[in-house]
Amino acid sequence: MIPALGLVAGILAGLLLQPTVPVWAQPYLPIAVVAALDAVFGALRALLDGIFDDKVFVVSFLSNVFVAAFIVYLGDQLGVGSQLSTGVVVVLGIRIFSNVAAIRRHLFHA
Amino acid sequence: MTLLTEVMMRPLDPGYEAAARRRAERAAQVGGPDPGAEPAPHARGALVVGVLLVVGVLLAAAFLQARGTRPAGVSERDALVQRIQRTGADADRLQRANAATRVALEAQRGRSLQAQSQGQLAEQVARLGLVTGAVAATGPGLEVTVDDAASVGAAGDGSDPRGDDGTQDGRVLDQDLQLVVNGLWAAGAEAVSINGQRLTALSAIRSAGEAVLVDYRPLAPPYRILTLGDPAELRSRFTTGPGGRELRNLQANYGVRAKLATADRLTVPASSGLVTRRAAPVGSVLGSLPGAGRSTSPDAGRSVGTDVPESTQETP
Repeated sequence: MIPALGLVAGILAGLLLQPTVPVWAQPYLPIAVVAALDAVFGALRALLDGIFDDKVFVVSFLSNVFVAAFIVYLGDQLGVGSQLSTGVVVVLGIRIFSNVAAIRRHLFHA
Repeated sequence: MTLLTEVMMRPLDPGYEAAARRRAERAAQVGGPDPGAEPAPHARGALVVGVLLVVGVLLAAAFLQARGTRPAGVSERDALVQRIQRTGADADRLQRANAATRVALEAQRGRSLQAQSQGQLAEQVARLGLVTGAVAATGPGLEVTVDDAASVGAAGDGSDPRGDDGTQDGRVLDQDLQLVVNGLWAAGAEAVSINGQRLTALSAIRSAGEAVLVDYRPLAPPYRILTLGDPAELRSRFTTGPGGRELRNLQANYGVRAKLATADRLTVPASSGLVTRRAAPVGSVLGSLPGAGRSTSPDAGRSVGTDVPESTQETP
């Protein structure tokens, strides 16, 4: 409950404060968002599976965002940034889909 | 395929299972309560809330970013369009000012030469200005109006590209205008202008996209080609010549609209682009001077007059 409130508070704070993303960080923002969503949905599924662990969640979130940003950075340096971004989005997207499907099965038993 | 299988089959971070297993082992050792119901320590709970706060801010920032970029692009385009229009208007104004200054300059020079009792030179300069396009000219002549076919204005009629350049059917192209203008020169035109742009030896009729450019100025249809010369002779020689044939061909095959009208008094403006950057009159010292870039300008008229035989500049 409190974590969900934290998420809502974060969204509200972001909307109200309107943080300006520095130009150098703009290519990484979409990837960071997808990575964060992956961590959040993974955590939600683990919670429903009854195996949620806060340490794993925090570490997986940080490493997800960091690795995704690093891959994009590396791709930019190598000149294949957009392709690697696509790869990251595909992998994380599949994971998000499967996790959301599992959550759906938990919630609706269907 | 192991990667894909891994991604598809085990979407959940294996860390959760491992942590759960560790907890179960620890619980079995200590004999404590059920591991799933183990309450999280306060510090860790705060960490989770903090991470979710960051996620929320990230989501909001991404949302604002995604919403903010598109209108920014559109407004930037609008600003650019406005700048182009403003600069175009500025260029037009400067061109008009330039033309006015040129007229004043011609008058001054004529008076000055007359005052120096060099009437012959003044006459020569005036004549050269006339045939090179440096001064505006007036007289009887022929007005040829060429316009796109009526169907061009309608949308979605670009199905049948003409020729090899894939433009819309019925649109007047730069090469059409070139043929018409060449026909007019061949028919004995003494001065020609298209939509207020005087054609000189340095003029080019080109196209950029769908616009026809004369001296790099984009023109909008209808194209009014003013020609000075004997109206009746111009008309008959043009209609029987290659230019007239081309025009009739365009009319018949593509629906291009064209109209010929003789007039007792037409005025073609002075050219605004009559500038040479490298060329200099033969035997002149002007070419070696820095900044002497206007060999056909008034300053150089003297040497042009002496070096170029008048007969080569005369119209047929």
